[in-house]
Amino acid sequence: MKIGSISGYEVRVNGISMSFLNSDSEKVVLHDISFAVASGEVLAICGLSGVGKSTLLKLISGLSLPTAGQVQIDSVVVNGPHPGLGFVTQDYSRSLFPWLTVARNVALPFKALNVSQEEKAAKIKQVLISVGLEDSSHLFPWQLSGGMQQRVAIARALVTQPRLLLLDEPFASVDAHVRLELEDLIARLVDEHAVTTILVTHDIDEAIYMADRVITLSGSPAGIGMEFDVDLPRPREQIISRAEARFSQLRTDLYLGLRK
Amino acid sequence: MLLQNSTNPYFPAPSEIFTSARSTLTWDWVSTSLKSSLTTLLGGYFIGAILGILLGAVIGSQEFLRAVFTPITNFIRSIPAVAKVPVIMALLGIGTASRICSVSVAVLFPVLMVTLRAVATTDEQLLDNARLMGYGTYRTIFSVRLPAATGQILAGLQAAVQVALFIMVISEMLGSGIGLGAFVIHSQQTFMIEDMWTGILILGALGLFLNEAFLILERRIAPWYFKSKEIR
Ligand SMILES: Nc1ncnc2c1ncn2[C@@H]1O[C@H](COP(=O)(O)OP(=O)(O)OP(=O)(O)O)[C@@H](O)[C@H]1O
Ligand SMILES: [Mg+2]
Repeated sequence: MKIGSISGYEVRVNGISMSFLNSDSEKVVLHDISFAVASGEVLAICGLSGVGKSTLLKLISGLSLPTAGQVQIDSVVVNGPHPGLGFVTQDYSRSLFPWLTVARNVALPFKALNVSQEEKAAKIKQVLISVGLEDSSHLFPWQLSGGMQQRVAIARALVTQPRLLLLDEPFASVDAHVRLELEDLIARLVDEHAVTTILVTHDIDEAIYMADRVITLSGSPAGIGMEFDVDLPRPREQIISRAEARFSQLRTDLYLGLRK
Repeated sequence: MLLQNSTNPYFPAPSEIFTSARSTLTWDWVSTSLKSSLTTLLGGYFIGAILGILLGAVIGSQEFLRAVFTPITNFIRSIPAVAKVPVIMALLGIGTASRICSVSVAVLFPVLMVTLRAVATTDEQLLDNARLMGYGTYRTIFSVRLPAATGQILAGLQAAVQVALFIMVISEMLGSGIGLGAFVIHSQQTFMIEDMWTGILILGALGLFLNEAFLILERRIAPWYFKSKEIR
C-alpha cells in the first residue's frame, strides 16, 4: 500500500458526560471523562461489559452528542459525524446493507465522495484482499458467516483511508487465526498511514498488543479507571511481542486494574 | 356438479356459460370491457402505489411531517374506499379518469400507511452508517430507508391488488357502463344470466392472475429479500 500524505486526526475528549433518559429516570452512564489521542496514536479502551465503552465511542464519532463537555477532532468541536472517520460498530451484522453485495457494501462510503470509478474499484479490490474476502465480493451479507460479516464491516471502514479509526470489538467474531491477522492488518495500516485509532476491546492481550496507550473505564457512572502507556517496541510481532516479560507485566496490571 | 343440471335461472350450468362466452357478440363486449377494466386497474394501481410509496417514504422519514400528516391520513383512510368512489365521480365525472382515480386513491392509502410505518422504523444502525458516510436526506430515504422497508412495502402492495380489483368493479358498476363490473351489472339487470356469470368468472380469473403475477414480479424486483428470508 502507498503511504498517504495525510496524517491522523488528533482527538480531544474534554470533560464529557452522557446520560440517557429512561421512561421515568435519568441514567448517567459517563461522568466527566477527559483524555486526548495524538495523531497516529493507538488508544485501547477496556472496561467491563455495560460500563459505557460503546457509548463513549459513539460520542467521539459524533453520532450522538454528550450531555456535557465536548469532543474535538483537530481542534474542531464535534457536533455530528466528522468526515474522514472509519467506524466499525459492535453490532456489525446490523450495520451492513442486506440488499447489497459485499463489494457494494464496501463501496458505500464512496457515494458521498468524489472518486473516479477506476480508483474506487482498485481500492475496493485492495481492501477486500487485505481482509481475505476477495472471493466473496459477489455474495450478500446474509450469505456470510459472522466473522466474514465483521471483516466486511472492517473493509468498509478502511476503504476510504480514514484519518480516525473507531473500532468497537472489531475482532469479536473471527477465529483466533484470522483475529491475529486482522490485528496485524490494522497495525500495519496505522503504521503506514499514521491513522489515529481508538480500539474498544474486552481482550486485554489484544489491548496491549495493539495499543500505544490503554485507558480503562470503571464505576457507575463510568470514569477513567487507569491510564498507562504500552512501552513495547514497534513494530510488534504476534509471537515475539507477546512473549516479552514487559508484555505479561502490563497484562497483569491491566487485569488487576479491571478487577478493582 | 350441482350446477350441471341446474334449473335455477340465476345459476346456469357451466356449459351454458361457456356457450354464451363463445357467442361473438358477448365476446366482443367482454374483450372491450376487459381492456377498459385493465386500464382502470393497472393505471390506478401503479399511480396509487407509486404515490403511496413516495409520500410514505417522505412523510415517514421526517418526524414533523409525520406529526402533521398522521391525523389527516388516518381520517381519510378511515373513510371506506367504496364510499370515496361517489365523491370522486362527483368531482371528476364518470369517465376513465375518475375510475383510475378511484382505484389509485384506494391503493394509495394502505400503501402509504405501510410505507410510512416501515420507513419511520429503519434500524438505527443503518441510519448511523448512512450518517457516517455523509448521506443527505434524499439519499438516506431512497438508498437506505426504502430498501430496508422492502418486506413491509411488498406485503402492502400485495394486499392492495385485491383492493384495486374491488374498487375497479365498484367504480364500473356505479358509473360508466364500460368495464367488467358494468358488464356484470348490466347482464344481471337484463337477465342475461349466463353473461353475468361469464363476467364474474373472468373477474375471478383476473384476480387470481394478478396475484400470481405479483408474486412473480416481486421476486424480480427484490430477489435478495426473498433469498435472505428464505421465503419460497
Ligand atoms: N440508547 C440508550 N438508551 C438508554 N440506555 C442506554 C443506551 N445506550 C446505552 N445505554 C446504557 O448505557 C450503558 C453503557 O452501554 P454501552 O453499550 O456503552 O456499554 P459497553 O461498555 O459498550 O458494554 P459491552 O462491553 O457489553 O458492549 C448501559 O447500561 C446501557 O444500558
Ligand atoms: Mg459495547
